[in-house]
Amino acid sequence: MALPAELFLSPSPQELTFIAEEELIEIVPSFSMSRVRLISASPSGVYGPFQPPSKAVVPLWLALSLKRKKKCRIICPEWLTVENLEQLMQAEKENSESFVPLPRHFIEVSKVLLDVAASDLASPSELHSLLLSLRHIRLAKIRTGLRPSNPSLPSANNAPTQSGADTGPFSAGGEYLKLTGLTPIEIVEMRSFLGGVMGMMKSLTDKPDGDAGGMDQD
Amino acid sequence: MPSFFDSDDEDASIPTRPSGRRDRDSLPNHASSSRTSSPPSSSSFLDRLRSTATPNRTNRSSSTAFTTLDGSSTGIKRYDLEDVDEEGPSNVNINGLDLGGRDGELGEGLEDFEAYQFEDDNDVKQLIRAWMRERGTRDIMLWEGELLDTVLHKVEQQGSMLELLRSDPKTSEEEHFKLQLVSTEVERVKYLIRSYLRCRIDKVERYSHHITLEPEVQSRLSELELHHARQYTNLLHQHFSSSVLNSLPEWLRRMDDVGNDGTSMVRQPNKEIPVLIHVLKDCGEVVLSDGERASLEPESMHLIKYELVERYVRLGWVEVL
Repeated sequence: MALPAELFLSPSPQELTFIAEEELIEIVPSFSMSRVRLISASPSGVYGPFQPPSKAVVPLWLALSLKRKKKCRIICPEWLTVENLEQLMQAEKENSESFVPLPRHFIEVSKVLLDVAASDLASPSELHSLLLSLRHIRLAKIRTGLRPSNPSLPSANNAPTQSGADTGPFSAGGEYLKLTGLTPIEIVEMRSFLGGVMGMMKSLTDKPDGDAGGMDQD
Repeated sequence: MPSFFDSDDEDASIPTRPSGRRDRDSLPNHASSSRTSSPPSSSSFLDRLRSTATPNRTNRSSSTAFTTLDGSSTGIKRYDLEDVDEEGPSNVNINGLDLGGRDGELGEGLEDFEAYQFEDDNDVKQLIRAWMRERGTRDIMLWEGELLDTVLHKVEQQGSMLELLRSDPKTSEEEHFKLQLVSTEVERVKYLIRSYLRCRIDKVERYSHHITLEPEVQSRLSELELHHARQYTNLLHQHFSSSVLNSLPEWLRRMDDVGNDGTSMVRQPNKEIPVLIHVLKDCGEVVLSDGERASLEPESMHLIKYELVERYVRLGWVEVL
C-alpha cells in the first residue's frame, strides 16, 4: 500500500514534531543577513532581516537549523520557564477533574529545544525534570481517567454525558470520548489503544443485525 | 448523503465569507480547474498533478515577483533572496497568491469550507491541515487542487531560483547560506506534498471499487486519482477473474455481491471509526447514538464517530488531528 499500515489513521510522533516545527519562535541572530523569501512566510513572504542584536521571528525548523550552525540564540518561549512549569504542575495537581490547557505542541517543542538549544535555556536540567514530572502527572491522570466503573477517580473527560454504566469515561456505547485539554501527541500515544477499546465496546453493544455493509475494520 | 450537503437551507446557517474571497467565486472556472485537468502526459508525477489550463494561472504567475524577472541572474538574485525594499508591490503579489490557495474545496454546495480563519495562516499550514485531515479520517476528503497548485508553483519557483544561483559564480557567501535555508524549506514542503498524495493514493486504492460506483465520491477526487481508481479496479478485477473467478460457477463470480448479513463485497470507508477532532467554531451539539448529547464548543477536543461530525469536518469548522 502507498501508506505504511502503522501510519494509517494515526500520525507518528515524528510527523507531529515536523508539524510543530512550523510554529514561530523568536531568535537573536549572531550574524547579519538580509531578508529571506520562503514559501511558508506569509503574508509578507519573507523572514528577517537578521541584524544582531535585534530579534527576528522565524519558524522553529529554521531556528533549529541556525542553532545547529551556531548562528543564533533561541529565545525561550514564555511557557518554558521553571516558574511557569512549576505553576502548571501545581495547577495540574490541584485540578484533578480536568487537564490544564497547554500550548498545542508543548511536548514536541520542549523536546527539540532541550535537545538542540539547551544552552539557550535557563537551567535546562531543571526544566527537563519538571517537564518529565508534568508529563507523568498527566499520564497518570489519563490512566485513572480511563479506568472504567470507578466514579470516585478523576476522569479524563469532565463531560456531563457519563451514563453511569460501566463505560467509564466513554459515552454512547464507547463511541464518544471528550479529550479537551490534552495535546495531540498525548492522544496519539494512546490512540491505538483507544481505538481498540472503542471498537470492542461497539461490538459488544451493537445489535447483531443492525450492521452496516462493507465494514473496514482493522 | 449528498442530499444532506446539498440542501439549500444549509447555506443560511453558514456565516458569510470575507468579501475578498467572494470575488473569486465569480470565476466559474476557477474552482474546478484542478479537477478538470487533463490526465497524464510524460512529465514527472508532480508535474502531472498540476492543472494544465487554469485561467488564473497565467495571471498569478505573471504577478509574482520571481517571474517578472527573466533578466540577468544578478537581477533575480536581488529580488528573490532579499526582497527589495518596495514592499508595496511584492506584498500585493503575495496576498494574491495566498488568496489563490483555498478554493479547490468548492463543489457540492460547500462554498464556505474555509469559514474559520486562522491567524498567521499560510499555504504550508493549510497543506499541513489538509494532510492531517486526510490522515485522520477514513473517508476521502475533497482534493485540494488549488492549494496544491499554488504550493507546487512556489516550490518550482524556489527550485529554479536555487538552480540558477547555485551555478552562478557571482553568488556571495551570504546568499549561499540563504540558499541552504531555501532548499531546506523546499525539501520540507516536498515531503508534505508527497505524504499528502501518498495518503490519498492509499485511500484511492483501498476503496477503488467503491469510488467507481459512487459519483459523489468521484467528485472529491482529482482527474488523475479518478483515472487511477478506475484502472486499478479494472486490473484487480481482471486479475481476480483470470486467476480464480473464471473457474468458479457463474453465480459466484460477482465482485459486488451483498452477503446474507448485508455485508457488501465492495469495501467502503467505515464512517463509524472515531476521529479525533479539535473544534474551531461552535458546532452546537451532536446527538450520540444513545440519545445523549455532546456539545462541540470551540477549543474542545473529542474522539467521536466520524459520521456525526462529517459535516463539520468538511466545512472546516473542526480540525482533524
